[in-house]
Amino acid sequence: MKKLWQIARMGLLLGATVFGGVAAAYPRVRERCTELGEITAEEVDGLYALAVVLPGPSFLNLWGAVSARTGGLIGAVVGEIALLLPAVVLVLALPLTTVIPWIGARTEGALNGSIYATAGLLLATGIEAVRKHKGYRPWLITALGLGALLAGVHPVFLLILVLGWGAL
Amino acid sequence: MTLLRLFFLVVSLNAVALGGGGMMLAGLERELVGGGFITPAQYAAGVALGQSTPGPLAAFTTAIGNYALGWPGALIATGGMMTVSLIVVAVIRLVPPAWFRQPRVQGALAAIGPYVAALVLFLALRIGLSGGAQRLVLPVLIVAGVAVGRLKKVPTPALMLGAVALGMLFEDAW
Repeated sequence: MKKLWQIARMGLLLGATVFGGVAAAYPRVRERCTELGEITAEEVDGLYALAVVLPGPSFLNLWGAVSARTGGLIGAVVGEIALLLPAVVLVLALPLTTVIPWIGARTEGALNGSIYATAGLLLATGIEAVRKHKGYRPWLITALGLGALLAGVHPVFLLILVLGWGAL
Repeated sequence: MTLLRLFFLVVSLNAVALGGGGMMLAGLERELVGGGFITPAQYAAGVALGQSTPGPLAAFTTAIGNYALGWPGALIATGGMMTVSLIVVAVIRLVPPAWFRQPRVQGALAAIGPYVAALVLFLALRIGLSGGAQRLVLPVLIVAGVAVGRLKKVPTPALMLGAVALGMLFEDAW
């Protein structure tokens, strides 16, 4: 029961504070996952790879898999509900903004502001990740990966290539 | 559109969406906008909500379900998304933890960090440039301001609230 509560609490925290999807805050998500215990950072990397290459939302898959490792399949259900709850509440509460006309009339501006803020958070995460690169290989993977994504290569295909390169 | 049909639509689209929930966007647009169940404006607003709410980007499914069938649609669409993910989780559970400790697997996983760096930079560019080139000043200010703020360790909720406030104050600038 204590574990389920821990999963729910951490899921709610991630669901309420991570903007831009799992990739936007992967180092933080990875840290939180290991805080649950029973899972190492390397295993989280492995689960992330599986979460991306398998169908469904990557964040939900990753957090579900980590929660399952700690609390079984019930833990996965609790973890996924907790992760989604903040977004679901916000989506359902949005029509309430029309109660105050000034806010209701500016919903689009608020949405645009938060979308560009998400882009800013992603940019910061990317810069932080690149700063940690050691040696030429990570730089090369990031540069070639970015180029491939801009050229329209599917992220899953790229991930499989990158994992294959790393394994060699 | 019935709740049951919406549920199976979300399940079937998620089941074939590799690389994250975003890959099912085109299918949802085809089925729901093409079928006349939601308007193109509602679809666009749903996608924008998914990007601006915290948590998984696939929260757009909840928003689009809400536009199609009200709050029951939002909950059913969310349930459909979770159903696929829980099946995937059950499959992932079959992988033994020792597998992740094999040298070749560890070598492969060491490439995850650089891959994620490329992915987030790509997403930042895609989202940052989504508004087009007509009105660039405010988006560029927000993207740069939030990025600098985050690098200086300003808390994320404070940055988001600041950006939302700016967006609301300069509504006409978009």
